[in-house]
Amino acid sequence: MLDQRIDYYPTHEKDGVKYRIGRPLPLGATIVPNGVNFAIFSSAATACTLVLFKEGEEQPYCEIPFAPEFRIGNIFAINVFDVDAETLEYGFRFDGPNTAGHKFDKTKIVSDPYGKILSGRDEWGVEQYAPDVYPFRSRLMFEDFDWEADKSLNVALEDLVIYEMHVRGFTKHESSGVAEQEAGTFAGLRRKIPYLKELGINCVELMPIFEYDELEFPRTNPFTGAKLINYWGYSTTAFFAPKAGFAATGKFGMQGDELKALVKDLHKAGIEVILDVVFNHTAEGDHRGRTLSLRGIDNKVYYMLAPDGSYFNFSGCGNTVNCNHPVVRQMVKQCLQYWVAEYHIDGFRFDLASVLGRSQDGNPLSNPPLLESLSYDPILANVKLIAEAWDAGGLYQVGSFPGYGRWAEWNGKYRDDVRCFLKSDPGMVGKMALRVQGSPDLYEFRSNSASINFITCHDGFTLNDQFSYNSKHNEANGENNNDGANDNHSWNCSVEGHTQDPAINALRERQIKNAFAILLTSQGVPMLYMGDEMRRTQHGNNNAYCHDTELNWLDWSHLEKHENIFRFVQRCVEFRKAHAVLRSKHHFQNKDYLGSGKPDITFHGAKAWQPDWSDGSRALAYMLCGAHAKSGFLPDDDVYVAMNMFWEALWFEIPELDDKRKWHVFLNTGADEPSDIFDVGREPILLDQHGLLLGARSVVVLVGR
Amino acid sequence: MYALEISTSEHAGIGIVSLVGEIDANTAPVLELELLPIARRYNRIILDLSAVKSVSSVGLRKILMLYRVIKVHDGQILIAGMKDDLRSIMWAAGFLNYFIVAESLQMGLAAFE
Repeated sequence: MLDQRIDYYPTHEKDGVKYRIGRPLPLGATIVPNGVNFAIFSSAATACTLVLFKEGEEQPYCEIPFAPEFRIGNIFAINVFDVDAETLEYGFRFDGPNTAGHKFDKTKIVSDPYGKILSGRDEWGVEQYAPDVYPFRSRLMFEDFDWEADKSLNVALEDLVIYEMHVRGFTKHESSGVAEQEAGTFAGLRRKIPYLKELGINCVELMPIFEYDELEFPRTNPFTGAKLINYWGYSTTAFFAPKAGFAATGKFGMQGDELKALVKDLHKAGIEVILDVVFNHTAEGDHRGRTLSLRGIDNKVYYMLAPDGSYFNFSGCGNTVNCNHPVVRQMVKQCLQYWVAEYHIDGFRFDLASVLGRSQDGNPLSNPPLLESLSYDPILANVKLIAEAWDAGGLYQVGSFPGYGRWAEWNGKYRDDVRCFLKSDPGMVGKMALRVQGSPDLYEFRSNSASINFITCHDGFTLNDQFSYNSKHNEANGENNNDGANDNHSWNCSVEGHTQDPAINALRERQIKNAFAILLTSQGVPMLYMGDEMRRTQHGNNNAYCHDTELNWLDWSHLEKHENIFRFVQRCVEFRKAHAVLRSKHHFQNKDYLGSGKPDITFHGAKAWQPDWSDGSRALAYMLCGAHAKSGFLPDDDVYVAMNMFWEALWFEIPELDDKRKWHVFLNTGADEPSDIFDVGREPILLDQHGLLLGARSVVVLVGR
Repeated sequence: MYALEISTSEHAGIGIVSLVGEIDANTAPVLELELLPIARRYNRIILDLSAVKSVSSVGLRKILMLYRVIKVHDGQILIAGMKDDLRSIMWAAGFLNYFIVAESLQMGLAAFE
């Protein structure tokens, strides 16, 4: 029947390529029964040309100017017949003004913001095309993956244990045991799913996997002379396209399938997938940057510009995406919808998310249209939305990010306060009482699950280095050690860097255990950083964004060397999953609203029921009433956590249990291994039920049953 | 002259497609024409790739297409003589488990029987 329709036939022809007017929606390139429909927006262009390439060829085989009648409103739409969707690469040439903020350049071919695949870096670190014609090219993707019965796991946010990781770094090191052709790829990660299951986490947060140009930096490592690489990838070149360089099948254009196969198998293993997405800026940089896509399509719409036409730089990366322009916010929303519908992604962490709440002139909005529309979008209804609630323009919104009851936040205050407490700073006990109970001071009208708790992440020291370095050592980044944070709240335990001193090494190890014990018993959502469970080190570099070397790749031999730490973390995760009382959705009420005999949470010090809130105090204990777990819907054991960050041992009097139940010792970081931690459910009875001696800088967790 | 030779035969109700050469953008359309009727006619198919030097992304798509067509009538495809690199790519792309795999045509026939 289709061939009886009048729109089945072309009306125009150029160089043997037949075409007719297209449909303005959906935007992007869509495979239709008789060819491909291309639709692209530009409000200020005076002309547009579709440029077609065959895969692998430097020069185009056809350029088709859009006829005036092919422009519908501000959308150029064309339907091209009989193209080979497998081998087609395409782009656009726009003409228009180059004044007052416009940056049209008809000598440049630009990629489709809605392109589903971007070629140009099909293999990691390999430049496919010369930079002068069209280096990054849009392609079509076949959306025929067989998901079988896969669906979102819909784990409640407060029940997640998130593992932040870098796809390439996870298996690139030869010690990973992954075959060379799969090392550093989605497939390599898929091979390692059994490890993630063994660790016990139930969510991975992948650092950027949208296409980016790892070769974009002109600088070199001042020590080795090697080219610096954009390893982290916070510099998007195509929002809808997965990074081919992260796929063993990238050179076959099958990165989409490979990522889907990974997501499908992670879901089978009970692990959700959150993507770290970068919408605050693009790889086009400032006025000196390359014209790759948005700049050449409609600069004034896609970027925030100052009145003089220069780029606002709230991202610290040269430009700022104009997220609250109606057209741009539509693109961001459709992009996220696409990742959820097509790739079954379970959530997003938004890099420098405060940019998403700025108006077109850069001012913070109280009710940002983009954030509101994402919060109420029907396709995004069940996905996790997590904000890095600050930006590089000085906006810091931890606790005040416009959340619409949906958004969680990377809790930077949790990170800083726990770090300060761990290094025995004075005046931290009161703050710790708030941090361990889900930061109700920050999220009073929201839930504990608004707080993504973390002590380390990709930004900053690894956990090992947090207790091995007082200062950053970023000289290899080629920025004279000026990059990276200075407020690390780290403590080297008295020697900077590696040492053979057994006492210092024992202290560092204990501090690492203390950190994990606190993180994994705190209310809120814990996030671990890849490799911390095996003491990965970056040798004091706290901003390792530009090294595609062993500095960043996870060295799996650490797993054997630090099997005790892995075992400790694994059991802490298991304990958290076994005890609903640690995963309360709602804030504690500090009262006994169920008549169990004691309030949901109570605080203690060296003396039971008498916390010492004074500035000089470095010790705090708290007890969670199991009867109040999950607001009483999932009764659990009682849990008592005591933290002594004083530099001497302290005797802690323990609140008595009110019936025949006894306190059992789950972990004691001050005890020698293997008595530092026990199997979940098989914890030994505490000999003295009235109190215990808590070692210097140690944490104890008891379970009452 | 195509760089792919396609021969088809039948053994005990099993459709056998033997390929010699390369499956790429040039040869894949012809392969598709040959494969489609076979996929519709047989419930069990052996695709003998032991003499295939290389398979491009287009070729991979055609093999996947074969699977989709035969799946409609609950059929099975066995791939014989697949090289290691192709097996790795198909695993990475997530569709190796759609197929039965055998070292050779003979072993494939034995597996089906």
